[in-house]
Amino acid sequence: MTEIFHQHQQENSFLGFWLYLMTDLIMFAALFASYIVLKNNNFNSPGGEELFNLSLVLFSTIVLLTSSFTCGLAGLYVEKRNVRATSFWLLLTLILGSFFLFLGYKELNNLVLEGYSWQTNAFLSAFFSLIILHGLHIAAGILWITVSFFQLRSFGLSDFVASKLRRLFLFWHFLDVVWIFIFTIVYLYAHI
Amino acid sequence: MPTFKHILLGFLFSLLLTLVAFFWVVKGMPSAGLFIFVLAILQVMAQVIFFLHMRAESSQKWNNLFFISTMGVVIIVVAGCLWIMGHLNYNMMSSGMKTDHEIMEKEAIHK
Repeated sequence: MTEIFHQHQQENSFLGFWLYLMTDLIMFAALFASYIVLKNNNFNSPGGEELFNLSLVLFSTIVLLTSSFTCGLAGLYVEKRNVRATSFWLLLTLILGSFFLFLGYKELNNLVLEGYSWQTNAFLSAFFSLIILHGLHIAAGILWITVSFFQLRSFGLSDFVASKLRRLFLFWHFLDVVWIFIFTIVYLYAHI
Repeated sequence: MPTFKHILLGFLFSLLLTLVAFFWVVKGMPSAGLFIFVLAILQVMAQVIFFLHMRAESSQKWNNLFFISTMGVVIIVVAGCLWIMGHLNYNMMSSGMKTDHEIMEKEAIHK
């Protein structure tokens, strides 16, 4: 009886987290809409075509995609109750995620140093809001992975930890899905 | 339950779609706008199926229901936004220089 209750509770918390992701998706959609509306208002300063370095963005996209893959593998080993393999893939996800964040930080920092900050024009305001919001999510995810890693090391794969990890993986995959749209709509469309 | 093959397949598929979209744009192939958008949608579907393991099972009824209704909201927000802003009097989205010029004259803005 308690077991059924327990499982029910975990399903509920998963559904609740799913609901949070859906509201997050709506927030991103609103920012995408404002970016598309504002992307031509660059007020005579260079637009996306000159500012964005596509090969660098492709590289960071592949880094994030690979981190999503390693995160999926960690999820696989959670189901097999393999603590060692889970923590290995989790750690790799952490490294790749941090690398992605570093690359994004570099890119934005270069733009600001060249004099194209969020204050320059409406296009860059919309661009920076979108990218930095995604970056903040990634940073939160990295913090979460770190905490989960230590939880995993100290408590092993109890039902409690496993259910938390499942939600973490969902969050990380979600961020990758949002990045696909950033890659396509922000970076690739600027070069068409 | 997810299997290794599942996850690897999702990864390779996503990687392939990303690279195709990238080179399609870089090489300046025709009708890139529509094509890479379709590729992005395909990749999201691949990730949702292979990584998020979303399936049409009754145990996932509520998850799927929330997902579909959220997609509805997203489409309304994005498409509605673009539709309205594209038809505004001041035509914020168009690259029509004429309107820009008119506004600048009216508001005495000098670039």
